[in-house]
Amino acid sequence: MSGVAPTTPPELLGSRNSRLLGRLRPSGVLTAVLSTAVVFGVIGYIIVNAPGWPRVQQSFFSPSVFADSLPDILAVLPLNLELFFIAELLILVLALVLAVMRSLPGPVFFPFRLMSVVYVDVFRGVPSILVIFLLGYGVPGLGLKGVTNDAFVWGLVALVLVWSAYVAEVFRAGIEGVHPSQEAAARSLGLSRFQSLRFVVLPQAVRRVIPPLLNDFIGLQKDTSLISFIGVVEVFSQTRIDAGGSFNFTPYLVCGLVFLVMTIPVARFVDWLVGRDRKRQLATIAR
Amino acid sequence: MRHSRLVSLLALGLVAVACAAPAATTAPSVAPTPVATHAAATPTALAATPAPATPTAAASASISYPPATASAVPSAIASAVATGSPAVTAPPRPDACAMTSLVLKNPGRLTLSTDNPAYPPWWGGDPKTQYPNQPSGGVKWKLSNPYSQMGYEGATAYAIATTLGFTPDQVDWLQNTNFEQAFAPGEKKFDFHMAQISITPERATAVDFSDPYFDSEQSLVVLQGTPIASATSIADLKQYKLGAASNTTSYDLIKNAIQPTTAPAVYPDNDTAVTALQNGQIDGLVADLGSAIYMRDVQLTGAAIVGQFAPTVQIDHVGAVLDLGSPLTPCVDWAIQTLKANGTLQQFFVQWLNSGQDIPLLQ
Repeated sequence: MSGVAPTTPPELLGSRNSRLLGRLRPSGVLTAVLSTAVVFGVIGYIIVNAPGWPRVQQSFFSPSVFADSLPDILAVLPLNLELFFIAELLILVLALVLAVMRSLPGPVFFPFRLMSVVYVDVFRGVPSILVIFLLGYGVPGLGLKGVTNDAFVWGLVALVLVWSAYVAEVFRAGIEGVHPSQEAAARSLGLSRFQSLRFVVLPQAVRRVIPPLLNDFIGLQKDTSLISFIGVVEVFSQTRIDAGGSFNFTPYLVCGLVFLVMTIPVARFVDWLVGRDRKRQLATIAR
Repeated sequence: MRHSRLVSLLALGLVAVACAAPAATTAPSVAPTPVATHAAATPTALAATPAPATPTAAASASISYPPATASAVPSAIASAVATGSPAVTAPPRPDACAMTSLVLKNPGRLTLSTDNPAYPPWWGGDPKTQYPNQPSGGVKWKLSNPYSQMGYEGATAYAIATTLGFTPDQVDWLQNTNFEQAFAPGEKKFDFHMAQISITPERATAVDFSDPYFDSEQSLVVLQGTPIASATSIADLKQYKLGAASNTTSYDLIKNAIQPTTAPAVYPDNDTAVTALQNGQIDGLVADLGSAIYMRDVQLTGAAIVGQFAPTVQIDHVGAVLDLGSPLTPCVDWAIQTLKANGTLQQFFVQWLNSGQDIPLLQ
């Protein structure tokens, strides 16, 4: 039997456990709809009747600029996606290494624990943009032979370094959240420390931290835009180019929508994964 | 986008400025020697155009621009006078532009705006000096000081102010740190904004532009001794990795005229673009000629200007930005036309932007 309290996958509508709607009767639904209409209606009325609305509408919601900038932004989107996928794989590996290093017990492993702690403190504490600048301009500035000057590569390295610190802490929380009796039982069955980690602790730890990992995935997807500051023309960079060229803010709206379209399916996919995993766990219990 | 991005952008600005300052070999308060003779200008009935404030001894830099000689005007550089010539008489002052009828943000004073940092040769002067017309306290300007009335745009701004009837101490300067501020909807805090902004029809739907006060050519800055330094035409440039600063028409030139095979790089501002060129991350940097000369002489080591792009390739008309539908626009237009007609803009061009060098044409 698993000692883990299963996490409830969020279901927006209909479930008895859902807090969004609670237990609704038909009259409750009607009240909810009316109330929503009134609240958003009032907000919309205030916005549309503000004196500056026509200018803001032209500046932020211009259909012609939207149509012009959408193809430009979509054309460079593959750069962000490429950066995201490569970075994510490297981050998961490095973060797991850091988290495991942090959990090694005993005085002989003190240097590893120390390295992990210092790494996480430094790279969580420093703004990511500074690391990107240091690596994106500083390392090519050194002029080392054999080392690439490519901004994409150094942006990737910077993002991996910074995000591994965050994700390592998430993994660490998962590992420490697995009840110690699990490892004790594994050791008493004759598994070595490494084997108990690999076969008993980590599978449980990773499963329970998937929702917070998703948080970090989405944060990373948006942070890929930081490489625009070291010269790579990707989504955010192209957005600023279009906005500056037309003196219009609608490209920022396009950029926001593009990011939403990128992140929301990922969120629903992970929900589905977690839900499927939970069903499997419950199925074994029921038997 | 996360709020930490705003803090990161602020940090970026601080870092960029902090890195730009040590990168300049000396305090960049350039003071080109004023030209003793210039094209004869018909004297006007207006108040005398203001002379640039003489910099204090402490402010003079050891690096100065090559002294402008009245005779060696490079044939390649287009005149600053886009329309009209010294022979055209100044138009009469519109009634709505009488000093008492001007609609100003701060009545009785002219509120102007420019970027901070403000780059030479468009601006000049020493940020640490307190000029006589400068109020104490307030914004810390970087690289140059608009109150010094130096630099092509600085001198032009004060010339417009004087033409409208203001004295130099009636001019206030606001700093613009973010390009987007210039065209954000809503009422602007300035009367007009000058920051080498090119006039395009698309942009003119969001803001009012004044008449152009300068026609700017783009040029290519490279490091000496690199293969790109021997390029002589636009076709030679296709194979290289080029870069430009964001929100400049330099990027448009790369995309439309050069169309290189490698995707160009776009940097948040001139400072980061210059760093990238020095690092060798880009082969060539496209920037307007005035800024390119400053980059080559002050910000970079071992740099050269390969050439300037012919006006037929791209020419940018630079104008001031005002509120959309601002009543001040015709008055600023009138002032600029007056300055063109009496040769003041040409004089400023010769003084601040004419490098006296022959820069080859790229086409």
